[in-house]
Amino acid sequence: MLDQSIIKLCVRKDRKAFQQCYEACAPYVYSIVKQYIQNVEERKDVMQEVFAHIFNSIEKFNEKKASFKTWISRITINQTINHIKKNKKHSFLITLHPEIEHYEEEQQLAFDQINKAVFKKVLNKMPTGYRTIFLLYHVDGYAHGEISSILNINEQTSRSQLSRALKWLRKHYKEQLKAISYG
Amino acid sequence: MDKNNYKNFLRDEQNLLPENLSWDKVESGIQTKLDLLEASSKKAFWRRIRSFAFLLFGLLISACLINQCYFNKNNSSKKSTEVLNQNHSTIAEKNIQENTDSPSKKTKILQLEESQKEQTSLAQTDRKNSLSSQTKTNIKKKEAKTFLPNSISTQTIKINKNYSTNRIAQSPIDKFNIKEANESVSGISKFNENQSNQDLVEKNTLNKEISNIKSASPISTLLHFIPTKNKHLGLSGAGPFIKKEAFHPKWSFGLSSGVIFWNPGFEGQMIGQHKAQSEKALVSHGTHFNLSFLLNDKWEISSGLSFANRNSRLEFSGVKDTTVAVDRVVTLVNPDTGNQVGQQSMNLDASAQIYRNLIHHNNYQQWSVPLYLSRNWRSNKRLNLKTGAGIEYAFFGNAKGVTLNLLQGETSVWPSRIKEDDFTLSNRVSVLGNIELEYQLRSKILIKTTIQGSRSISNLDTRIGETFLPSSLYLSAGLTYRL
Repeated sequence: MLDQSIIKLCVRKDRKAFQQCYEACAPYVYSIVKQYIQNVEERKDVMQEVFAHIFNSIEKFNEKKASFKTWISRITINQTINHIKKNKKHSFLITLHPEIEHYEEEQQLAFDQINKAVFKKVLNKMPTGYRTIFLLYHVDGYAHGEISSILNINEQTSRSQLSRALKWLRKHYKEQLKAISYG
Repeated sequence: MDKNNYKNFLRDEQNLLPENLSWDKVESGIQTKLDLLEASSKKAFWRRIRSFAFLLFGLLISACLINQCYFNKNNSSKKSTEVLNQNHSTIAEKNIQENTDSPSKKTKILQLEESQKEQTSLAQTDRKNSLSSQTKTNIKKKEAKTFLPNSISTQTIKINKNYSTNRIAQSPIDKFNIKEANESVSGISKFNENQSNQDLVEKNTLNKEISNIKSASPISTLLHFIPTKNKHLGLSGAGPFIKKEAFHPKWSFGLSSGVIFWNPGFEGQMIGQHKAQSEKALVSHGTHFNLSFLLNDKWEISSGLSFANRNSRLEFSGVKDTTVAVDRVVTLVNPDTGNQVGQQSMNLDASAQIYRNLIHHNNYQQWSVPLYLSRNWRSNKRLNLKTGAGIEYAFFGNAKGVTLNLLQGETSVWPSRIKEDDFTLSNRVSVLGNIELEYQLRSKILIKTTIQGSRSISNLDTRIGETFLPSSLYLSAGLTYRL
């Protein structure tokens, strides 16, 4: 993703190296950010925060522990989640039920059969809380334990929220498909 | 479902950055956020250091308080035991006097009669003045009661004197045996029981005798029996032979090393003001060797050799307007023939700005001799807290770094000794104060932690109107060896 020499220059706070690093990594970072954040202006703000953190802590990067891409994606996700947390209007828990809901893994969509364009459209409309958990679990590969610590929620809550997110996704996906076929 | 499917599906596309996210448009925002982050991380670092210093200080204070409380408790219990011993020994001595010193009952009766005569005469005088209705006996009672406590206290002092000065030299121990001692113990109980006027008067007389005996008295030797008496009296604790702790060795030397937090203290009209903005102190380190001499068990004088290696970061951004003069000679050539037609000279002045960004680490090394007086606040077997104040004379300094030359809008490098430049680190005086906590590991080896603050009182900058008065806080740990 990025040459080791550029990383070394970034450690020395070289401006040109910063630019090279940004140009090389920004598309990937943006692909993560845009899934979590829907507002375009907010995306810009988050992108700046992410790169400020990357440049500030690049000296801590250890290639033996993880690849640069993995390291960047972790920083991006953390900063994005922090940004979402800061905005109080978003709530990770859309509905609060005291009882623990039963959920099944089979509720997930059959990936091969989905219309990708429709899926993306539905995903963009998904409530922030559902989308965040869905992305963290299904896209970025975090376990429920990790999600619970990132979002400061109960592990069981994470599971139930994911279950609901999938229900919501399936329901709206089907509605969207119907709308397209009738439209 | 395979999680990678979603990931590939959502992130495999070649994302093109929107126009508003190009480097030119986000650079300033990133830089601002980066500066904020650096500032906050610096603040966090100093916060950690501050909290560490507070913690250390708190530990010192709490250790001192605990130690002080423990010491006071110990000391007061010792004192109370001593007082009890003294009082009871006084009482015991009186009773022993009763049993041993009075040679016969006849003598005792004679003494009693004499004292009665005295008391009677006193009573008569009093009667003349005011107490016409009081009986002889009542007067005797009064006087005996009021006189007794005074006599005991007077006696205590005398006995102590005897104990401290003549305990061994004038002790006719052989005159007393254990039987006599036991008699003395029984005398104590007698003393407690007998409260009659006659006895009080008798004791009064005996007290007088005791006070006349003074240092030559064998009373001092009776103190040897006091532990036994304590048992009978139901007293616990140490006996009267409480040895004062031996005075510890007078000379000691120590070596410590630690970190220095410092402030360069730049001030001034020209350079100092700019340096204060652009040069920030970094955490540095130092080593300290000290030789101490105990003046007494409280005061100590120390000197030694200190080395301080102070670092600072100079971050300078400057702009300089410059004018470039260009002299050119233009040769005119006929394009058809190619022949040289003539020459024309041109003078061109081009103005330009030179930008200079500089980040450099400056290094100041200083060797100095401190001299300070310390007060030992607590010295038990293990812990000791010292506070001290003094002065420090820097006899040699060396520095490497970059200096600012604002008049030329440039910086220049001075790689050699700083005394060749405009300011000097040597031949300077600082004041210092320190708090030190020592813990005794072995009989001669102690570990210590020190917080030392110092402030230069000599201006290190020789330029007129410029100030360089560094102040520093030195946190160190080390070892002390008592010779």
